[in-house]
Amino acid sequence: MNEFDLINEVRPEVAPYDPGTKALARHRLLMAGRSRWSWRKPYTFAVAGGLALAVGLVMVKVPPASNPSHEMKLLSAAEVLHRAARAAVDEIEPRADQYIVVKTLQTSDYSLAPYDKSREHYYSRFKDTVWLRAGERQRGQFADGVREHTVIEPLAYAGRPIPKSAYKTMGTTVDPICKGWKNDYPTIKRLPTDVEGMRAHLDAMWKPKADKLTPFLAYLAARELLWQTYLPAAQRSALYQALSTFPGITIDEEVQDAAGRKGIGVGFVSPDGLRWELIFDRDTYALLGDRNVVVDAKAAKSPAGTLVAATAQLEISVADSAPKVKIDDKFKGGKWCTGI
Amino acid sequence: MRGLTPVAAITDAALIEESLADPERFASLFDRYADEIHRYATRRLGQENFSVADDVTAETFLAAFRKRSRYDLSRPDAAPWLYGIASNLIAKHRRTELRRLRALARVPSHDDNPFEQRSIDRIDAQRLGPRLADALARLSSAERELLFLVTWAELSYEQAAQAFDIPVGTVRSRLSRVRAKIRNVLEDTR
Repeated sequence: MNEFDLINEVRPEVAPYDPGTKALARHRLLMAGRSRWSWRKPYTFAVAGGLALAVGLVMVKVPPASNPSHEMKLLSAAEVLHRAARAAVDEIEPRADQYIVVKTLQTSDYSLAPYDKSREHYYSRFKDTVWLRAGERQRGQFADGVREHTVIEPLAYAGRPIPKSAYKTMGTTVDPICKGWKNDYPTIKRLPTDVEGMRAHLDAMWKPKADKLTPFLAYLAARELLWQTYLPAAQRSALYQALSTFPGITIDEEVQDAAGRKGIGVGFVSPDGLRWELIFDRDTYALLGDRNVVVDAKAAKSPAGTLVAATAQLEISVADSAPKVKIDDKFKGGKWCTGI
Repeated sequence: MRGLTPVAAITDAALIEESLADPERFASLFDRYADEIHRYATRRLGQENFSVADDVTAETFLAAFRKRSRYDLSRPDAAPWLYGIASNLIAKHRRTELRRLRALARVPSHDDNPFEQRSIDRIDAQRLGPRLADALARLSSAERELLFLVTWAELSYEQAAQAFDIPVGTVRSRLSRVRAKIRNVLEDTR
């Protein structure tokens, strides 16, 4: 074995590109193009044809963005968010010395959109339990909490074979975490509780990366405030109401979260043809999870109706302690944890 | 052949040329290469620094977009060009990578129990033997960039030459020196 073989032997396996982050990067690229060419009609970049391919896991057809009954759906989506805002209650009230425990399930296409038959497409699945520090970070503390991350059995995508490599990462690991975007619990529980204040906060979350808060960026920021954390009822209510003020928000009558629970989807279509939606329980209007699916086959270069990723928030509780983990130098050097 | 769609049938160079008149066509280049550039950046900077890798990926395509008018349209494959831009951006995080390599160099190897930990990050730490990590950390930044392009990014010598805009002969001689340096460190520490 020569030196290059040796280096290839140690080539690290890495997690797939996060769909939200990837969508944002693509969005920024499009915005860079439009800033000098603002006369162009939006969303005309994609010319790819769709692929006639059946998708196996969750084949929920979602109406395209240009649905003729859009106006009626716009009202319905806002109404769902208003109801969710009114229904928000404080499920837990952790003390500063306790931990918030959040259990979630995720499903994600390994190669995401666009569909490319030369790449591996299968559904990775993760079951996480997160312990988040409820109190302020003390001097010398580097972590916001601990994540127990379990990679569970993958699922097939559109009948394609699951590669053997998909099974290699199965198992459980426990690692320290830091919440990005300064979204640790003590910070988010101080966020504004009024609609205008929350809109301003969503805008601030994107500064200086984005000049203008588009509906899609607002959605991504909102998702960050809801994912694997606990947003108190007052802020959650303001967040849902703030989302309802953006144009282009639509509803899906019946969708499923990563755990297979049925609910109402409320969200936006991103420039790359994917619909991003929060999923609410039809009766209680509690947040079940979120998902993104292909709605514009041309723009997404994937068959319409394909599930790209889905999550489910399974349980929220409070604990007096969290699993002990080692905080090493590598972790301390991480971007979020050093507060850069 | 990548994909089945009409857009996949045209070359990267043709896409870039079209994007001069229609900037949004550049998004198709992002679709083709975003995953692999992101994978490469994450491998280089470490899974624990995923947010830096996210930034590097986004900046790579923004920088490419801004300088696309200077792209040599006689080169149908844009991968070397994108990797070259990504490499320059990764090099700006030299301290992050060196810190990671030096930290890994201090991690004792687990040759006797390679499957003890399943975390991606820990497999990484276990596999990247301390001696090799040390050898990599001792290379110059330019040497490391070249080495990882022909190994982890699987670029040919010709593609690596295009990425850094240097002759293929220079790539060969530099890589020969790099191999000798790594060999020396590995032998010295045995």
